[in-house]
Amino acid sequence: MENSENKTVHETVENQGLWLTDRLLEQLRRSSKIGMPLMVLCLIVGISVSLRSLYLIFWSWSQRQGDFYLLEGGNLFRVFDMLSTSAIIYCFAMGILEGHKAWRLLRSSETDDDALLEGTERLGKMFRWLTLWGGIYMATLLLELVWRNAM
Amino acid sequence: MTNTPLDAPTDFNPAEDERPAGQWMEDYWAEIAPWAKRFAYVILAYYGWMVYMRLDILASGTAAYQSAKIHISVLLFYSPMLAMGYFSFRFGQDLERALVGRGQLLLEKAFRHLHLFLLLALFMAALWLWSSTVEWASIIQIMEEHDSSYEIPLQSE
Repeated sequence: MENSENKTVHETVENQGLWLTDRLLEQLRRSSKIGMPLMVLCLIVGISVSLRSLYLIFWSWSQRQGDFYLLEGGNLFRVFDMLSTSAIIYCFAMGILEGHKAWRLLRSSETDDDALLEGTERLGKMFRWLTLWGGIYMATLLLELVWRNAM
Repeated sequence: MTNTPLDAPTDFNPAEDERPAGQWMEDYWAEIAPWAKRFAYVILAYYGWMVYMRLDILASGTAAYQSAKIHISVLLFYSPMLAMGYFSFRFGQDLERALVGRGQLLLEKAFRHLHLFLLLALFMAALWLWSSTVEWASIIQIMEEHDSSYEIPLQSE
C-alpha cells in the first residue's frame, strides 16, 4: 500500500516536470548579486573599449589623404573595420543591457512571478547577444589576420 | 546494501510550498541552453586564439627551457577564461539534460555552474578593465609622441 502511494507521488512529480525549489530560487538570487555588478563593470569596460576603438577609427580616417576610392589606399579595410566595430559594439551593448535587466528582475523574483519569468527570458537574450558579439569579434580577428597575410 | 541502477530516478520530493516550473519557464530554459553552449564555444575559440597569438610572439626564437616556461605561464594566465568557457558549457549541457531527463538535481547543478561562470566573468571583467586602462595610457603616449614629431621648430632654433 505504502509502496503504491510512493510510486504515485513519484509519478506525479515526474509528470509535472521540473520544480522551482527554494534551493534553486535562492541560487538564482545569489547569482543575481554577482550578475548585477558584473553587468555594470562590463558596461564601464565596454564604453572605455568602444571609445578607444572609435578614436582609433577616427584617427585612421584623419590620416587618409587624397580622393576617396574604395579599393585604394586601404579604404576597404577602413570601411570594413568601421562596420565590424559598429556591429561588435551594438551586440555587446544589447547583451549587457539585456543581462542587466535580467539580473535586476531575478533579484526581485522572490515576491514577483512575472519578474522571474521575464528575467529568465532576458537571460536567454543576454546569452544570444553575447554569442553574436563574440562570434562577430572572432570572425573579424580571423579576417584581419587573413587580410594582413594576403597583403 | 542494495545495488542501485545508474539510471534509477533520484529521490526528489518537493516541499509543500514548492511548485512546478511550468511550461513557460521550461521553454525559456530550453532556449537558454543551446545559446549558453554556443557562447562557451566562442569563449574557447577566443582562448585558443589568445594562447596561440601570445605564444607566437613570446616563444619565437627562445631556448627550449625558456620557451617551456613561457608556454606554462601563458596557459596559466588565460586559464580563468578556459574555466569560464567550461562552466558556460556545463550550464547549457546540464540544463539540456535536466529538461530531457526531468532531472531536478541536474537543474540545480546547472545553475550552480552558472554561478561559477559569473564569478569567473567578474574576475575577467576586472582584468579587462585594467588592460583597457593600460591601453588608453599607451594610446595617449603614442599620440603625444606623434604630435610632437610634427611640431614646427621655432625660427630662432
